[in-house]
Amino acid sequence: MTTRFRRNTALSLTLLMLGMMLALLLAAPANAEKVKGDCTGFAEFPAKSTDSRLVAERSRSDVFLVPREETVGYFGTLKEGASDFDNPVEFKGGVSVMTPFNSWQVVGWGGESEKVSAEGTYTYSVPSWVPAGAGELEVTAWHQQGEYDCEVVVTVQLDGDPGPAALVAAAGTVVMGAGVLAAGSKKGAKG
Amino acid sequence: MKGHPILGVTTGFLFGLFLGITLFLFGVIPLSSDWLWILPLLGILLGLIMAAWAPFGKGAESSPVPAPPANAPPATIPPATDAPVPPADSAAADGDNTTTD
Repeated sequence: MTTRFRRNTALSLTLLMLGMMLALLLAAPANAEKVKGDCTGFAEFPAKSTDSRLVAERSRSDVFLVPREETVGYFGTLKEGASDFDNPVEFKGGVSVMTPFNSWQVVGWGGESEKVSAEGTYTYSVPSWVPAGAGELEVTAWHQQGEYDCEVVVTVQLDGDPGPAALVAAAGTVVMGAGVLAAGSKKGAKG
Repeated sequence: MKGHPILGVTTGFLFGLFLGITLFLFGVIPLSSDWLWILPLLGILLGLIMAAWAPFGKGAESSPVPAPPANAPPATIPPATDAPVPPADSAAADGDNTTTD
């Protein structure tokens, strides 16, 4: 192995690591919570022994751990102290997860009601192919009814370990990184 | 390009994609992070830079075969083998392609 080869390899790896460190520094978490309207509410996760209540006012930087499956008790109101509508008013809403390109709606609702608050239970189960313990998920809950337009954003993380998926991804990163280095070999080079 | 640009683009894209997925799965970046699509683009750029720079190996053109000196002895004739020699007339017929009509 020549000195030039070692020097160039070290320089390439250094540049690569500097780029990764820059990426990590720029990926700082955002902080905000309720983004629209006067609505409020909470979701209760009874299976959790600590930090079991997720409130609408929770800071985005305060990550909430979500179990893989749960029956959640919820309560929400469009405005605290508001009285019901005189007649049924059309409403629609949903819960969606933000991705880099768009938002993926996981739950939706709609209909007509004269009430300004709702409560009940909701049972969910996250599919097994979704890796647990991964990065944070920005979850947006929104509800529109009459003149009320409400949106709440919280940050959650699926409870558990990443499992083999993370190791496979790490191995793929190493293999493809070697491929990038191989692309830097001169055409016809013997090595 | 002195290196391998197609290999660089392909592996650079996949490198960035796998790196983004790995960072997400290990909880370093959130799912909503723009880095999940920026990293594959940076990977393509890195692959192209590596292919253009080509810092590894000596390459075919950088190690030319030196010409033999003018007073060098003629190349030695390889020793005869036991392989059969084709007959002279058939060899001439095979190699004769200069006939005219």
